[in-house]
Amino acid sequence: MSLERLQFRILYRHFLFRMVDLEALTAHGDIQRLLGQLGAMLAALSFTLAVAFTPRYINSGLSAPRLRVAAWGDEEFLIATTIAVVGLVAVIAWNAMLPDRRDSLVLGALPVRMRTVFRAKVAAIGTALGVSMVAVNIFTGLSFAFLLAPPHAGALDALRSLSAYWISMFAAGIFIFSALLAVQGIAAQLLSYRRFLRVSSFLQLASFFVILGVYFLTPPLATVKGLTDPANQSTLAWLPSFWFLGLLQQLNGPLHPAFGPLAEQAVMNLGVCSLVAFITYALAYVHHMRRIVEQPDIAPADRSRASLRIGSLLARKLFPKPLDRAVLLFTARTIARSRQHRFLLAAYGGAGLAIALAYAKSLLYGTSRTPWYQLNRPLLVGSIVLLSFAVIAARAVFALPQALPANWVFRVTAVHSPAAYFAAVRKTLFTLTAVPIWIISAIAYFSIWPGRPALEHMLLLIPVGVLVVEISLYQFRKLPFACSYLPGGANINMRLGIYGILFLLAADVGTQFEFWSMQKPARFLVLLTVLLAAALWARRRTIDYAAMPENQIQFEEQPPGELFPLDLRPDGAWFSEQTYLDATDPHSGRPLRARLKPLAVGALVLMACGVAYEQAGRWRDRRLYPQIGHSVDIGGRSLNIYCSGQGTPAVILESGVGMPGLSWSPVQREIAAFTEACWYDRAGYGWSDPGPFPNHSDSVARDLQALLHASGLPPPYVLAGHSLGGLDVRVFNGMYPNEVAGLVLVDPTPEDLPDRIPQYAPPDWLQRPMFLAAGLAGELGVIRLWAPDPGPLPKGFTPAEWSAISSLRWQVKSQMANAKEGPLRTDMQQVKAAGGLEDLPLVVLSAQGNPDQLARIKLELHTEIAQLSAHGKLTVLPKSGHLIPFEAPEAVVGAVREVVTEIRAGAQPAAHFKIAVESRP
Amino acid sequence: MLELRHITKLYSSIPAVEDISFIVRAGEVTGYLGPNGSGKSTTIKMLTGLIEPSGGEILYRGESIARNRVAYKQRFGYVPEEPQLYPHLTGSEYLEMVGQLRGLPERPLRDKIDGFLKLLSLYEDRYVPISSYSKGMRQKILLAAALLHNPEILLLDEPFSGLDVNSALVLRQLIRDLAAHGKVVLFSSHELETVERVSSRIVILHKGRVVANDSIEQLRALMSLPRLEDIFSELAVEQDTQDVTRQMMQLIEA
Repeated sequence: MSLERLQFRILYRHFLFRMVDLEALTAHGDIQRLLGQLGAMLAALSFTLAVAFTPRYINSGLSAPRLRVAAWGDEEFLIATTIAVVGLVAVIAWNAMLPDRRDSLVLGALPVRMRTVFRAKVAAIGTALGVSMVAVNIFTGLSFAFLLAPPHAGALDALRSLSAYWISMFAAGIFIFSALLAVQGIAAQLLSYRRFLRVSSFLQLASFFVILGVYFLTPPLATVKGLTDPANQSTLAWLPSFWFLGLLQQLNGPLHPAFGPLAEQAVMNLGVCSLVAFITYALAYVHHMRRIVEQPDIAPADRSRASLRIGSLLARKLFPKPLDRAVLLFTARTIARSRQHRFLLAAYGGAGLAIALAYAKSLLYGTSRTPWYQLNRPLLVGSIVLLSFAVIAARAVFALPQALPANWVFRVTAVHSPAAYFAAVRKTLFTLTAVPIWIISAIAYFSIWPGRPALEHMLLLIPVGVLVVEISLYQFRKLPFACSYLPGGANINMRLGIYGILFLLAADVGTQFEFWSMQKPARFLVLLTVLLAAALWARRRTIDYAAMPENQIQFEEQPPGELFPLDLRPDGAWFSEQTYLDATDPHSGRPLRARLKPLAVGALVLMACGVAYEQAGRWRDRRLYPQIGHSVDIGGRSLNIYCSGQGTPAVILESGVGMPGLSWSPVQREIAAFTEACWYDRAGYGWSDPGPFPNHSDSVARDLQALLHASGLPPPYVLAGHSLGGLDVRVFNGMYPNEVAGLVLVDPTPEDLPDRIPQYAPPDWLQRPMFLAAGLAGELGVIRLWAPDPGPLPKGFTPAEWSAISSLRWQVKSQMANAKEGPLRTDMQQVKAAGGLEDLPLVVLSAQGNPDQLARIKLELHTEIAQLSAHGKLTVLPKSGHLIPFEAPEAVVGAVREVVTEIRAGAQPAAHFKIAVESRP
Repeated sequence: MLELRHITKLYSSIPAVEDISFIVRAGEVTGYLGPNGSGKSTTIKMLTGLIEPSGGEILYRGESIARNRVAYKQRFGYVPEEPQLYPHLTGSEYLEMVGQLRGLPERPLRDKIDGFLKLLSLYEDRYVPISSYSKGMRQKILLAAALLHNPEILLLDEPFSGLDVNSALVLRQLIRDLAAHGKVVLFSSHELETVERVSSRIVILHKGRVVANDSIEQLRALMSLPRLEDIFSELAVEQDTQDVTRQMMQLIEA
């Protein structure tokens, strides 16, 4: 082998290694393994995409041309992914692309020709580029080409589809790579080496964020409408993924004229970029290398800059302790000046930003339900994701050393306790991550959102930030950048991925919860209190740990070798951190009682707050919702009744489970137009006193009879009962048959329902625990806190009535009354025993608005109930749900009118059963 | 005074220094000599607390330094063998950080740093990152960092390495003056002539053991040799220098 070829091979390996030697991969110097790992990582991505996309195209039932149109979106996504991946590889390998000082000094002194260096570098770049492009398309490249080929296509068609795909992907990859190389090359030509070094790292970061930003914010325009809309043309001209989509379509056989210009743009831009890249790159070897040697690397910083002065002034004012200042300044200066650290920080930050952007996309393209200037979830998630990623990024970067041999200075100057150092590290982490994000978020939210949600979100963001900082610093015993480092320590592993997914889930669910809690001040206060408590707890834990006397600052990732002269540890594992932690856990020796004490105190305080909240709420309710109707004594306790209208028979409205009598008000008003109509609150509901436990249909009937007599309403009555109220009025009819003239059953609970659906009624033994739980939860304010908003106002109700109903439904008394009434088995047996419908005027309303299994069974049973009376009638409401008094009050009024009319007529019409289907909306 | 009592340091059960005992007195300059690998830097690192002795005890003013490390660390200044500094900081920033880590108040620290930088001819380069400093400049930064807090003890490991003639002369005088002001000064060097001029006492280490520990006059008289170089060759040099150079010439030309 000639000397030049040998030199080429050595340099090629060296350059390739330097290009792809990422911290994410650990190959221990093995180039094949390194490339294998890189390829496997990208191929895994390709496999995931192929698995995700393939099912859409198999059995799609679309014709071949329509299938190709349907695939545009996915193809554009794959091109954009290729561009992003190749772009990121180029950004990561940024410093290895142009010759640097090391190359110049080392190779300059050796008898190596410049063209050998140049060829080796180009070959290395080509290999890295090729491996990443092939790997990221390996599965999609095969599956797409064959999925999109016409069903009876020959080998030639399939080959065309395959080559079109790969040509387009390679073109897109080469385009982004040469674009980035050209940017760097032009900067190298125009600037002095010193200035170039400074600008280059900013260009690198900027490229990183541009690539991510474009990838995550590209609008979904890969449709006929999107591509042809004149308003989109300027956007399309700026988005490379669409140019190369155009190229792919043209190569596949043109389907749409919109792709022609895009394909032309792809070819032209690819040509220009590769030409500029090649020229500047070749020039770099001619001029640049010599200049590197001649010019110094680093220029003195310009100390007159106002930002630097303000920075050091702030550091002095905010950090009066010299130690805190030392750690802060050291950290800030290292991050500002070390490319490696800055880049790792940017990588994490970029990931956070990408996720935040992905959330914000719906706001940007107007597909979100809420506009950006109102409280919305995407922006809530955004700040939490950015905050967490900033903290985690800084914490991860802290563990990466800057100049290990220089760490001795921290050791010989350690004149403070380790706890003082850990406190300084915590302050530094706050100052550099959480505080700036808090300030930026505050400015952003207060300028785009109304004051209250902005303030509330900021109040929550503070404990969240504290929590993330404290958790990330727990058991961190190092000074930033001053501890040794195991190679591959930041190796991307499964755990990181799982934690990331868990974190995103938590952030997503957390912001849903936050959104919900911001609807009510009390909920918000609970959430804020819980977060504050968690933040304080995390802070206490970290401080306690840091203050342990046996805790020392850790400068070595591994204990000094001489402790293990025989090296008996298993391969790859050293005396574990866990062993140390177990031995020094401040909590391990504490008795359970001592550990539970703060929890118990916290729970008591929380309960006291809950009781106070509930009492305040009741006081407020009494003022806001004065009694409607009047209380009538029925022997030691009173029930509330409201009547109006004139005429006989009087109509008495019986509510369903959990509903106050007021929920009948629109129905009652209408009925009052033709006869006397009353609603009342069953024991415990609305403004009535609580009743006995349990409170089944028989006791309800006795209460009602006493109430009606005490109110001076002369029998007989027409009773209308909704849902559970249907059981009650039938039992009333069985107990006092002479006092009932007719019945209207409004989607009643059928007594035979448990025979058909055994799980419908909960077991009897649950009744008392549920009653007690309802009472306890109510007294502690939990029910009030959980109570949803009243929802949209149904027709027929006034806003005052509607909010009163909502308040009455969720009062503790009602919830307890509710628990006293269940389970329904007893009521159902009472109904079966009651009988007495034989010739009673009866209308049964059956709600069939939600045609599910339950509704179907209920319809059958409702038919049976209506058939129990010779004067029975079943009216089916095909458009109403179970809550007929709210959804179709006119149907109830109509049914009552029928029964009243029938009674008033006094005539006994021929006994026959009728079924009517209500056609009114 | 700083006293080493039967100090041993083992690396994987191989001794780097073995049972060494000597005293560094206040007001004296103690020169610490030995060939490469004899354990000089190991001893000095044990005196700074950077590494722990495997056996024996180090006492300062009669009290073990292990009893209160923090108090001890406030008392000494250390110039390490290699000028290992954070390259991304400027000279001024590095000194500022060291001062802050030692808890020195801001204003006097600033003045002190500027003063040191001016006297050591580094003032012009105070805003240049250390990565572009020459070896001598880095050495001066180390020296300034060791003296910022006016320490009682000075542990100087090869303090002259890389210094130009001017600075070396200043440092030589400074070491003598510091001792005259009652400081405890221990310094190791390979420049025997300098050691001879500066030190009042000599400790020679060979293969991890103390082979000489006496005042320089005493040593001369004892060994009947006029120069320190001769004494050193007699005690610590095993190789025949002429023979080694002859063999090397043969190897180069082979």
